Amino acid sequence: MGLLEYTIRRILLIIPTLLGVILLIFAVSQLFTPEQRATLYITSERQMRDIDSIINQYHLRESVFTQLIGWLQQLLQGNLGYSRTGGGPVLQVLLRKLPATFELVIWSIPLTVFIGIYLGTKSAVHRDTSIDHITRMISIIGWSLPSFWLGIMLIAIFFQGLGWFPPERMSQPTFNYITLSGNWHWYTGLLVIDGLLNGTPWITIDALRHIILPTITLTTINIALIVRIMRSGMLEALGKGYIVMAKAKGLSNKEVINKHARRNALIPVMTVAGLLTAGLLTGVTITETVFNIDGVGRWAAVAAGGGGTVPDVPAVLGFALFAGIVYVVANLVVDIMYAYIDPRIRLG
Amino acid sequence: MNLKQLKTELSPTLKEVKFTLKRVRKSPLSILGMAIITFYVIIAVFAPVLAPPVDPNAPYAIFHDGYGPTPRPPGSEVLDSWIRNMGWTVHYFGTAEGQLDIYYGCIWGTRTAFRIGLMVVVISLIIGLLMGCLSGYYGGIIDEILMRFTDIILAFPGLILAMALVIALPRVWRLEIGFPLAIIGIFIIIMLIGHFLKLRSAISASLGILSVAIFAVLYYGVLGSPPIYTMGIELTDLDKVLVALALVGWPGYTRVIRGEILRVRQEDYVEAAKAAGCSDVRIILRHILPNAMYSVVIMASLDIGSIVLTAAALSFLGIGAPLGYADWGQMISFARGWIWSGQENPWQFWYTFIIPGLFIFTFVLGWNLLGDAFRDILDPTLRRR
Amino acid sequence: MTQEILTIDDLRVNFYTYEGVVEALDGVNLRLKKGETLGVVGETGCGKSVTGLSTLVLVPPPGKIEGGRIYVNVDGKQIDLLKQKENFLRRIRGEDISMVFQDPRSALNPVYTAGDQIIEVLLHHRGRELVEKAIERLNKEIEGGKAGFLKKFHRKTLQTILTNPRSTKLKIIKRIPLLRGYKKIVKQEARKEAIEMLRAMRIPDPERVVDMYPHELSGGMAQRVVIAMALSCNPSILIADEPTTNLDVTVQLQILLLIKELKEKFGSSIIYITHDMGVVAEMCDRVAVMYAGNVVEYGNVLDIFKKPLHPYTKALLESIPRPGKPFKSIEGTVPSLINPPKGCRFHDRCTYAMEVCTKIKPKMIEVENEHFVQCFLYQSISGEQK
Repeated sequence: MGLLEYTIRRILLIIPTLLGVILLIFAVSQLFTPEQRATLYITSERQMRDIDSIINQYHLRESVFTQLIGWLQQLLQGNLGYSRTGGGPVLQVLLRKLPATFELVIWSIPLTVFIGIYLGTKSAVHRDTSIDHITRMISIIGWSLPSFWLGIMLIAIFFQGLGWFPPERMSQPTFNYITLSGNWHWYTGLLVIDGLLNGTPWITIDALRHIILPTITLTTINIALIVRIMRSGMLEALGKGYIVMAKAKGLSNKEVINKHARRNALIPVMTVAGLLTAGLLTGVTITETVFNIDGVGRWAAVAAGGGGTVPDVPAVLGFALFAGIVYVVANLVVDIMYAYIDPRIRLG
Repeated sequence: MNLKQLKTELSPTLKEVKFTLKRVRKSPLSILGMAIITFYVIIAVFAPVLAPPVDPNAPYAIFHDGYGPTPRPPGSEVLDSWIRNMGWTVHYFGTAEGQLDIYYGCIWGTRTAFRIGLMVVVISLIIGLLMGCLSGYYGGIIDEILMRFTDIILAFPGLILAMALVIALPRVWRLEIGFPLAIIGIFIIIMLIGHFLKLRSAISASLGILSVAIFAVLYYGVLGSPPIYTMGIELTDLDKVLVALALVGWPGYTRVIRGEILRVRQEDYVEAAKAAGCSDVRIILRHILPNAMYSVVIMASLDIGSIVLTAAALSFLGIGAPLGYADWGQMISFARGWIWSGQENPWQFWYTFIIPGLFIFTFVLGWNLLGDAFRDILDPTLRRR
Repeated sequence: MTQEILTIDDLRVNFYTYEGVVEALDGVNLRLKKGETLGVVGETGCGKSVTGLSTLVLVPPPGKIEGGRIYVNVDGKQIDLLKQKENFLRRIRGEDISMVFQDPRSALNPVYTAGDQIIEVLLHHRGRELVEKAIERLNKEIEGGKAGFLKKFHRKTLQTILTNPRSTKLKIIKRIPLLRGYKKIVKQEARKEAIEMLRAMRIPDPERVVDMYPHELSGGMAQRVVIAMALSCNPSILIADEPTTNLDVTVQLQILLLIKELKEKFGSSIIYITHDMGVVAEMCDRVAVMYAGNVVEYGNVLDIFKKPLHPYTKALLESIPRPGKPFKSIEGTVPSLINPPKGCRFHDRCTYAMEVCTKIKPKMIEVENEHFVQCFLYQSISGEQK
């Protein structure tokens, strides 16, 4: 079947999974007390005191089915509740904080993937030699580091010690310019690019200085995933018959590795890279907390009650929904990419 | 040939194990991993000797030498006389905020780490194996449903889900386990009867669901849902973390086991075994599980590392063990304020931060090295070189 | 007398496995004459494939060539391949010596089309010729007034490739995406060539097949593609390692006929490795019989079939099932090559075995015209003919 057919089929298959995600979130919400669930709809102090009327209004003490229908209704209207920690409706808060997280992910994923592919190839080609051991050691070390520990240390060395790379997303002058000057326009949501588009290259440089440490943190930790899978993919490809054939054709070792083996090894790497992206979009909580970046992850951590504060239930549920959707979509994209690269899948 | 040669000639399993061990010995990464883990095992086992508890009733509570907020460097003297009497004269690694002894926290924290890691892995493994076997073995619609369910759990970022669960789980968990237990029990009994009567699994499953539905209707409608059996489990915060992590972690194992079962099922030797009259259970036990075990072992060993990291992250965020508990992650969370806050020398209190961090890092490193080395060694396609 | 274009002398190959050292080839001797088809027969595991791979010096690890000489006629000179550097060998492979493998599907890379893989060989070895052709085509187009500035630029680039391949200008041009169109033009020429090759393989509708992926091809088609790859640079020696074993019998016949036809057309000499004596009878001029890493007998096909000298050859021929005759097999099994038996490796299954056979390995001697055998039935201990 053609690529289009396959794509459509895959998209249709998403629907039950999405439904499942929604149902699961609803099930989790039932674990909370009605009072906690009522906080979804509370937007002010005054309403807090009159919590019972909210409970009645949204049928929060009634049977599960009534609640489910009510909740789905709200969902379809885009009303995910009001987030106390975010200071606004959940959906809006989510969209507002997303660009910061997105920018972080956009920088670290390509870095992770490219370095990972390079190291993985080297590791496979020189299997069981010291290059292999060292590469694997480096990537395993990265994977074993607690992200908060690495982040804090990097800040201590490069910011407090050397003063080169500050944490957070932007400096005070940048912030002032963006919010107060009236000249700033968000084109892409990404500070680095928008700095250039707005004609203020100093903002781009500022953004880069801020983003470098969290990017290094994320890359160091996640490189192991890519290295490992690239290495095993390469080893498997190198054992196949077409490699001998390629050599028998007179191709150089480099050509054989790069052209023949690598193409085949990249297929599983694509899958992992896609899932990694999804994982990062929803999982940079610790890094955002440590570097004090106002992104989606940190919001979720605060909302979930870090430090013993009262949990911001609507935010937690909203974030969970977001995470589920991101993951499902990422799976879809990966499957389609897979079909595109591997003709065997596409052409059946 | 002497007896020893005869034995190894005749036993392929022994030969495989010997080969594996030889390759393990040759791989520097796995040696390092094993050395690290052994080191920590020794520390954990000998914790009471290495760091005698000041309060024998609460060994996990890090003792604090006073209440002063400023950390003191390694080598500082113990000031409190009561603690001195218990045998402590010096803070080997110094003290953290609130005068908590870092050395004590790190030593007993090892036990905490092992406890968290092993328990979560064991629980996840059991759940995962069960689900995976059911899914892989029965296939069909059971497989579809279970896989969807697994996918959904995997869709959530573990950390956030764990956090939500920790908050959502009440302090005392009143389990109305009567009803769910009854349902599961009925279902299993029907399935067993069906298997015994050699009914097709789809038929027994449908009968099972039918009986469950009838029972549910009776229970709610006719009987008016009386409580059958209630159980109250008291969960400490740490327990909640354990449960949450386990609930988030099992899908990985399910996938692996299911994958192995599906893969092995279509191998010719399973066909041959069936043709020779082997029962299904025997096939699973003798053919499928041994092959699948390799992948599961690798996964478990890597999992311990990541579970400890996640638990440390949770502690760092303030979720998990109570204040002053011997937990590496928590100790780092104390240190945070002392590294930043714009002081001249961020490294003045390095010990509050570097030392617990090193413990976490090396512990996880050991397990990761082992898991990775084993993965390379046990991968059958890469073995015969 | 027709000259030899390939001579293998005393080839030794060992495989270093965890179970021990497998002495796969124990002094193999072979001669391939120009224009002939030499069959190499033997049971599974006797070392025929390893011999084929050794000719290309492509023995995969854990194997290692431990001794011997492989002489090939290159540009009029006799060169020992085993002493050559990798650079030189890469020139030879695919251009002077080519190989066709047993499983066509695994010999093709699943993520590239059939055409891509043929084009790859063409560009690698016949690049120069293709560039010249491309320049010719561009000339025609430019003279016909149908070409713009870009094409003229590409022509210059191609000419530079011919005259000064290492120029820095070229290096820069290679990096600029817009100016890299010259590669496409050469590839088009290569593609035409590839389609012609497929047509020569008697593949119907080659324009469509050239864009197909390996998994879309049937076994027979895939094997034709592999043969096309192997012959595309007109090698003087083709090594066919059981090319039809994995195919249906009807397809087998087609491929055999095809190989025969191509041999005429391209004038190559073929080493045909197989375990099927019937194929040998059909295809080969001369044949070498291998057992457990040794060539035990070799000569003309007619001589071998009518007058087999070595006990193994005799037993092999007798064991071919014929209607009306009872089954006859050879007693015993092939010995393990980790600790191979001393002396002649066939001695424990040989009905004529003598004391000397268990101790010393016989030499290969010429018993009659062009008919060689390695057996003590025909020679004294010192190696003289009896």
